[in-house]
Parts: sequence; structure tokens; C-alpha cells
Amino acid sequence: MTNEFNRLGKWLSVSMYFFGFILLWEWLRPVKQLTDTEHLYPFLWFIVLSFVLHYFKVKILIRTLFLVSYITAFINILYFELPFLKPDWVILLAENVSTSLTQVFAADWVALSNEFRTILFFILLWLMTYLIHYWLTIRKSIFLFFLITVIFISVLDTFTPYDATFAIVRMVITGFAMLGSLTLYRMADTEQIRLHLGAVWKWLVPLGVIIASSSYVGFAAPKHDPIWPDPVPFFTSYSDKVTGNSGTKKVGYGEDDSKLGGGFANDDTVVLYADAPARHYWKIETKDIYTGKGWRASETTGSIRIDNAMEQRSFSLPASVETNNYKAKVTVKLRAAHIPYPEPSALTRISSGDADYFEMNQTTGKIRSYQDESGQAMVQDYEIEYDYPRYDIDQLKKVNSFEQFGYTSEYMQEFRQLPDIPSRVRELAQKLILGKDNWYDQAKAIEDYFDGPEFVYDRVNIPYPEEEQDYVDQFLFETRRGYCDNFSSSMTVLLRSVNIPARWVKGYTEGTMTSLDGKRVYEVTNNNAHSWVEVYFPNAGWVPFEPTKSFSNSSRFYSSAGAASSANSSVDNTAEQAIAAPAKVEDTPEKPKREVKGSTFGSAFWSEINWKFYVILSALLTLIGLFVYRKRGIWLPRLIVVFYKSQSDDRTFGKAYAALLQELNRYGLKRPEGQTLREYAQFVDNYFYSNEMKRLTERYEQVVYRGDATLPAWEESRELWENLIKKTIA
Amino acid sequence: MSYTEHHPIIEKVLENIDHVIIGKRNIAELSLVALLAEGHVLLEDVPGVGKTMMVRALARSISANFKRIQFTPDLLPSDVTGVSIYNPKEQEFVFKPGPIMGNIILADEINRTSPKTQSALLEGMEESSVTVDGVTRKMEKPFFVMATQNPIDYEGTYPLPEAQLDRFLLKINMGYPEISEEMEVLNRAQYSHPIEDLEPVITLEELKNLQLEAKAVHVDEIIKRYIVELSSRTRTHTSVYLGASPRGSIALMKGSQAYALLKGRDYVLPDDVQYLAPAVLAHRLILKSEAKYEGISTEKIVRDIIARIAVPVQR
Repeated sequence: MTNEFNRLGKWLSVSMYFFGFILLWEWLRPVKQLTDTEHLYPFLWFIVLSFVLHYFKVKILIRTLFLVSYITAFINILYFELPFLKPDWVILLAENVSTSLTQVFAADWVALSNEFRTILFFILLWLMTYLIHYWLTIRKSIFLFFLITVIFISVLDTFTPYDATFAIVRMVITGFAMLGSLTLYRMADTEQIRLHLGAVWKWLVPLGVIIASSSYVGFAAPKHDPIWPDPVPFFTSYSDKVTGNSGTKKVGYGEDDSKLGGGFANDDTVVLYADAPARHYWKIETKDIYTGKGWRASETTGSIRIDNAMEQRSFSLPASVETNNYKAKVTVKLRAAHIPYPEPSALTRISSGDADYFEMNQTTGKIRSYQDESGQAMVQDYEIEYDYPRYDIDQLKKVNSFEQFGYTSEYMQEFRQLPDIPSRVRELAQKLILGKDNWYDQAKAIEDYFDGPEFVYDRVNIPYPEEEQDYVDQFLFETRRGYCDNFSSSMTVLLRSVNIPARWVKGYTEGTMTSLDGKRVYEVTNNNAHSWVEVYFPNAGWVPFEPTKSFSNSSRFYSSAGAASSANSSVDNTAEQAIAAPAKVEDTPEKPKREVKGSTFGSAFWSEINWKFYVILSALLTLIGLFVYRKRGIWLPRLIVVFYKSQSDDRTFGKAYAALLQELNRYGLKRPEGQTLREYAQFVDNYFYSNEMKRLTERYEQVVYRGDATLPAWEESRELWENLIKKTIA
Repeated sequence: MSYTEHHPIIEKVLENIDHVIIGKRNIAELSLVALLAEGHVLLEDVPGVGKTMMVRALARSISANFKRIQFTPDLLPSDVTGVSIYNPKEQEFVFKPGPIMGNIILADEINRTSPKTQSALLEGMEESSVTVDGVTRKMEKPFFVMATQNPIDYEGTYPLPEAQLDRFLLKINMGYPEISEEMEVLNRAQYSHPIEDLEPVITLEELKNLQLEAKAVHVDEIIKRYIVELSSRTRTHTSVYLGASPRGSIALMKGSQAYALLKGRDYVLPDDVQYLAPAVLAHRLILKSEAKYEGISTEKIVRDIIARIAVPVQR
């Protein structure tokens, strides 16, 4: 019987520690994912070691020795290339820790060394393992920890990219198994029964069945879709902004478009003021290769030099296109080395006092400014002359292939290429152009498709595509919610899928009219960053299209057959404010990564310090703080004893007695306000079966009500007082 | 020193009284408190519970000049204070002192006499002197009046005015004895009354010294504040029409001092104040009529206030 009982007890407590380990592991998993750490195993082994020591009831001194040597060995292997048994590195470590401690007091968190952080993390884990041991074997109640774990994981799941789908399942199973078994333990304790195998089975089998069936039902049951939009994209973009990581998710023009997606915050930074005679977009560059996730430019084929203030004849629109020659003055506020220029247009002259010549990239159409001596230069003011076209719709409608203009079908193939895209995208495009026999009508049909009610303009709650997901496919068939990049990319891809040459253009919208130094000018801010589509017509060049919902094409169109119409020249003001492009602001310097000595593991673990880590840390600290506070019965009386015992001045007795009253009150022996000390002492002594409180109180009364000298009274009653305080130790 | 220990001399008196009055040690203690504090006591209860016996036992325990006045409706002030009688032999008026000229006076059933006679006694209590035929005569010291009265709603009584109630340091209700105590009373009264066998245990001189000692008992500032808080709170209580006067505060302090001495201490504890407050303060409060209809007693109000005011536990 005893043997059976012992074996049973062993198995039960082993499984309890195992479940505790699983629960604690759930706390560490997010650390791994959220901080890009590949190596959690040293920490997990540490937890295992700690639990094993607890299980075998190793004396605290030996336990500490084991754990401390594990930590030091780990630190040694990780950060020091010195032999473990040589004392040199210990001295280094001690210095390191002491400087870190001063930094802690200076609240200089960033400067803390990795070694110190690692040690702290170990200590945290140590405390946690002790806590779990305490909950499991002494309190026999894990509910608090379980609840906090569930809260922690669900908060992480909601507000961080951490996906807790399976974590929740694991937690439900381990958590309920623990709760159930501990309840059995507790019941046996209170009822003073010895558990035997039969009783345990009678308990465990239904428990197992309940857990299995409920988790199966929970797992298999249909889940309601979330009511809120996923806040994660917003948070990640915000945290990136805060931490200054690359890929700042602020609205604005940026160069890297290879991975589109995610949400944006407004940015009212003014980019430029333009004094222009016409209302039109400002183009920066185009990109031709769709990657399935975003856009990049193909290898450049060279660039065209444009001399400052010299007339330029190399750009021209086909002769059939009607143009006006305009001149615009631009004042750049957010200085960059590139020159935004009117869209659509053919440049005839750029002049600026800040540059000697300009170069236009032939592939992307991006114009950069240069000085003869110093190379690339930032331009503050420039004047631009350009031919601004009006497109004849009837002419555009004549185009339905390159062959009719004498080009081969391979002509402009780079603007018709696509990666492997889902077939449903092609099928959608085919469906949309059904019955349209020319490129213009086909492009219009695709453009109009995005005006449908199923598409929503939004730039906050936009997810990134999944690993295997196509950016355009996700937008067209799943989210149907997005900003200019979603719309323009989708239209370009749809056009290309039906063999119409198209490219993706980035720049700014015309901005808003404002007054600057008494002149009416267009103010273009980062909020005006935009992307749109250009379609190539052999008889008209690259013609802009505007698929983004709530934006309208400001290019001029007319029908030569009917009355001239300058199409859609007005743009909704509110829409303008809400233009977005994923980008980093160009002149934000990338923060140099902190130089970290030691292995890549250490640096990977700590260089990614961001708010997620602090969430975990503060949750753990709160937990520990709560525990320490709840357990103050253990340490507070001892602390008070140490604090007052050695003191001997005139006020000590009063303070010590007051502390005793407070401790007794915490202990549960409450004194009503109107109760005298003597009555209270009687009450306390009855509770403790002693007369110590009475004796102490009599002495105290003489001090308080008679005016006796405090000091001798304190000297006399110190021992009594200490005994009483110690009685309140839980 | 323990909680139950008494001042040795006082303990002797109390033991003496215990021979006669059974199970009423607290009443005896309170009476002694009033005696030591140089105040007077009003004992109130129905007839036959031992009010008179208590006073007689106390008086007999002290070798003092004990006088008894049985108040009746036809009693005259001169019956209390004494009269000047013409002595034909000496051919002059000779003052024949009334019963008030003693050390311990039992004023039995004080509310049965007319207000005029009551006031003759009360003047003596307050001034420690009586004026007869234009001559003011000082009373002996110590001078201690124990008045008893039947509850006022009984037939043929003249209730004491509130202002005069204030002159009594304490007002005590006797209460019926427990069953076992009453049986013991029967046992003792079977053959002879034990009061007849009582011997004095304390001299007048000793009593005077004790009264001086009581005055010297230390009352700390925090205790004084506590007393003042208690009595001032009676003035703001919602059910009270008229609260305790400063005379009430003084009475509470003096009573507490005497009680501390009785308990063998030379300093006053909040416990002393709390113990005495109902007896000292309750009869000084006048309730609002609403409170009277609700059946709230002044004693309960005092106890409420005690429970609500924080006891000073630190200097």
C-alpha cells in the first residue's frame, strides 16, 4: 500500500512539474517569436534543472549552487572566450555587473550589457520556477498562474503578431489537467484521506475525458470571425516607427516596394510647394517588375543627361497628342536627391540654382540632381518646363494591339510580364474585359471595377499577405480593402494578365491649394504620396489611369468626335488627404545596429529590444510583485523585526508597537477603532493562547498614558515584541 | 500588576460590601469611584433591588458619620438642613443640625419629596455648605451623597430637573441579581441580616488621603483630548437635544482618575474613560422627542459614540 502510494505520489508530482514546465514554456515561446531568438533551449534547460532540483527536494544551498553554476557556465560560454576555471572572466563579469547596476539606477536601460540582461532573465526564470513549485506543492493551487498565463497569451495573440492558436489549445489541456489534479490533492488534504490508486483513477479518468472532449469540441467548433479588425498591422507599424527600424511605416514616398502591405499613419510633413498652371500629379518613378509581393525596377539600361536650364528635346509625346507648354516652380521642403515632375508630361527644361545637371533613369524615369564637383545634390528650388498633353479618347480607342502599329507582339514585353500569379486573377481580368474590343475600353473597364461597393479604401487595418499569398490576389479576392498600392498594383497586374502593357507609377497627387507668400500654390505633403497606373498606347505614349477608389484621374481627356472635355479635373479634397504609399522617408538615416560582442545568439536576443519584450517583462514582474505582496506575511514581519530590533531611541517603542498593530491587523486580528489596547490585547492573547500581548501592552500603556520614559520600556519589552511579531509570520 | 488587582485599601472596602450585596461588585466600585472623586451618586431602580443596602454597606465600611434621609412628600427643607431651636436654659437659639450634616448621606427616594426640599439637599451637594437662618455652615469633609430614586414614571414622584441631575457625578442602575445570586441573598438573609455584622475597614483619614491620591492620578493630554472628544460628540449627535456640558467632561476625568486609583494605577487608561462614560454622561443628555419615541436610550448613544471615536494609541 505504502509503496503503491509512494509511486503514485511520485508520478503525480512528476506530472505536475511537467505541466508546470509546459505552462512556463508558453511564456517563453512568444519571447522566441517576438524577439527573433532562435535559441531558447538554454533557458528551457535551466527551468528543467530548477524543477528537477525542486522535485528531489534538494536543499536550498545546494540548489542555489547548482543553478548559479549553470548560469555562470552559460554566461561564460556565451560571452567570454576564457576558460571557465580561470578567475579572469569572473572579474570581468563582476565589473560588468557593477557598471550595469549603476546604469539600472540611472534608468539607462539601453546601455545595459547583454551579460547583465541575461543574468536578470535567468533570475526571473528562477523566481518563476520557485513560484510554480510553491503553487504546486505547497498551495496546491495553480489557478492564479493559469489565469495570468491565459490573459498573457490572449493579449499577445491580439496585439502582437504572435499566433497563439495552438498555445491556447496546449494551455487549456495542461491547465485543466493541473487544476483538476490539484483539486484532488487539496480535497484529499482537507478530508485527511490517503489517496490510493483506485481513487486516483476514478478521478483522473473522468477528468481526462472531460478535458479531451471539451478541447475537441472547442477545437472543432466553428469560430466566429473577429468583430474587430486585426490591430497587429497597426501596432507593428507603430513600433517600427518608434524604434526607428528600417521600413518606417509612415505615409510618404519611399524606394523599397518589394513587399507591400500593412497599415499607415498620417504624416503631414510638407514635401514641396508647387506653383503650377495646371492641376496634375507629380511623378517620381515607375517600376516594371511585379514580384508577387510588390514591385521592383529591372536593371537600368542607362540614363539620360539633362543639363541644367538647357532646353531638352529628347522627351516628346507622339505628334498626334495635343500639348500645352507649361512652366512650374517648385520649392522643395523635404529635400531629396530626386526631382518630382508633372504627370503626364514631356519635359523640355529643368533649371535649378542647386544643381549643374540632372540624370533621368531610363528604366524608372526617376530624375536625380547632380553637381559637377560633389556628385549627387539636393535641390531646394527648381523650375520645370514641360509639354502637358490632352488625350483624344477616340484616338486611344483605336488601339487594340501593337501589330496594328507595325510592332512585333514582343514589343514592350517587359511591361506585360507577370510572375506565377493565381489563375483566378487572370480569369477575373478576362471576365472584366469581355465585350471591350480596344485597350482603352478594356483599361477603363478594369479601372471601373475598383469603384464597386465591395472595395473599401482604408490604410490602417491592412494586413501583409501571408507567406504563400500573392499581394494582388489577397486584395482582389480576400480583403478588398486597401489603399493606392493595392488598387494600382491590382490594376497593373490585371492589365498585364490580358496582355496590355502597363506599369506602376509612384509619386504624389496634386496636393491642396494653399497660399504661400501671397501666391496660390499646391501644397504636397507626405499624405499625398500616391501610386497609380500607366498604360502604353503606341499613338499616345504612357497614359495615366487612376484605379484607387475615391481618387480621380486629373489628366485631360477629350473626345475629338464630340465636344472637348477636360475629364475629371476636380479631386475630392478629403480623398487627397488620405493617400498612402508604403515607404520610408528617404533621408531618415538607418540607425546603426548596436555593436555587441559575444556570439550571435546574445546579440540576436537583445538587439531586438522593443516593447514586446517589455510587455513580457512587466507582466512577469507584476506577477512576481503581486506574489511577493500577497506573501508579505512571510517576509514583512522578519523585515520589521530586523528593522526595529537594533534601534533604540525615544520613538522606537511607539513605532514598533504601531508596526505590531499593523501586522496583527494584516494577520487578521482587526482592532475596531473604538477598542482600547487592553481589550485588544486580551483578544490577541486569547487567539494565541498566551499573555505576551497583555504584558507588552501594559508596558506600552505606561509609556503612552503615563508618560514613562520610552527607552527603558523598549529595552525591557523588545523580546516580547519580537515574539509577537514573529507570531504573525504566515 | 494584573488587570483585576485593586488598590489594597479599596479592595478591603469592596470585600466588605461583598458580604452584604451579592453580585453587584461593579455597582460598589462605581459608588466608591464617586466617593473618591468627591462626587455624588444617583442610584436608580425599582424598589427592593438593594439600593439602600448598597449605601448602608458602603457607609458602614467606612468609620464615617452616616446619616439617612427618607424623603417623603411632606418632608420640609429644615428637616434636611437642621433648625435653630430656642434653648430656654441658655436663653438662646441653638442650631440643631439636620441629617445633611454627616459624611455619608443616604438620600432615599429623593424623587418622592417636593422640589423645594430636593433643592435644599442639592444646594448642600453643590456648595458643600447649608444656610440656615442666615448662617452658612460648612459641611464636614468628606461629604458624599448617595441618592436613590424610583423610575420617574411611578406614582407620586417629583422628577429631578435636568439641571440638578447634572450635579450627580454618576447615575447607576442597579438591575436585578442573577438567579444564583438571588438564591445566595436568600441564604444569607435567612437568620440575620449580614449588614448588622459589618465592621468599618477604613478610617476617615484614610479616605481623605485616597481622595487626594485620586486627584494626583496622571491624566495624559491624549486622554484629556479623548474625554473632550467623547463629550463634545454628544453635543452633535443627531438624536441628542442637549449634550454633555463641560461639567460632564470634568466629571468624566475625575471619575476616570478615581477609577484608575481603584484599579491600583496612577495613570488613566482609555479603558477607564470608556468604562465610566455611560454612567457619567448618559444622565446629562436630553434626547430629541423623535429619539425618545424610537426608544433610543441615552446610554446606548454614549456607547455608540465610544465605539465610533478612535482610541488614542500613540502619543
